[in-house]
Amino acid sequence: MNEFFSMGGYAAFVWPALGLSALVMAALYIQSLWTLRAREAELEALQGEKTDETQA
Amino acid sequence: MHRFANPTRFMRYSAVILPWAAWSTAALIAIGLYLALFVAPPDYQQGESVRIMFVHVPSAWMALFVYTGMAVASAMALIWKHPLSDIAARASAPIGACFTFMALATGSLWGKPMWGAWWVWDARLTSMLVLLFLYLGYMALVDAFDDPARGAKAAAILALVGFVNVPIIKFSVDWWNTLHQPASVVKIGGPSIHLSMLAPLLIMVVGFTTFYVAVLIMRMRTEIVTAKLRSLQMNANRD
Repeated sequence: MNEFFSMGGYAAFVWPALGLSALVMAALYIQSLWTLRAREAELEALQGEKTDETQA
Repeated sequence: MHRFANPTRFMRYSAVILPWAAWSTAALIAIGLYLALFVAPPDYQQGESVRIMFVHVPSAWMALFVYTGMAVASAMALIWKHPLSDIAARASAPIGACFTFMALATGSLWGKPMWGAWWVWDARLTSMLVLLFLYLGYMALVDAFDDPARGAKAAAILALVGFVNVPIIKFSVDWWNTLHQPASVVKIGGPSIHLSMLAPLLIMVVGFTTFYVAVLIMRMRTEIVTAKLRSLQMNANRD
């Protein structure tokens, strides 16, 4: 197992490369998802208000 | 083409595609990483450092692929003025910028042990850095105007002019003497890379592509919802 993590002496390059890529992709994905959810919630709230007004 | 380029239809179909794209991304990257780290052999010259290739090459390809898509969408936006093509180009830019950054960063981490330098001003590396600046320039320009339509138009022209850089990146390793190794997958005579390395590489490429599709859909939906919000708020202010 230790041999696997040492990556033939290249551990200091292989693991940061994989880790950084994973970090960038996860951050982009989560940021995109959260922004979408926030905007959808805003739209729903605004449309809810509209229908309340028309009913009143 | 025009049948699908309709925002209402896009909202309906993209909602169906999104979970498929997201779950395929997770599955493909998990399988690809397993094959890349446990099954693929070390390189006969580069040893275990070659495993960086399995994220470096897919992100570099995606950087070019996303830019090409952005240029095509920009051309469509300028010619046919269809709102979805502007939205697609705008939503692609940050994704492409992330892939370009990943290609540069992983390349740097691969260059240090293999070439002895984090960075060299070589044709391939320099043209890739220019690509990153094109993405960042696009993102700055598209939001630099009070009128979103003017921003979209200016940014679309930048995307089209910048497209000249894409073939320069692709052929830089053939046109100039560079430290960067030449193509070993997409080349005349077929790939010169063994299946045990080619299979995980291609699986990662497909996984990165479905990732792009998933994030693109989320960002395009965000743009459409935001536009709807803006028009509702404007109507509310008028009442």
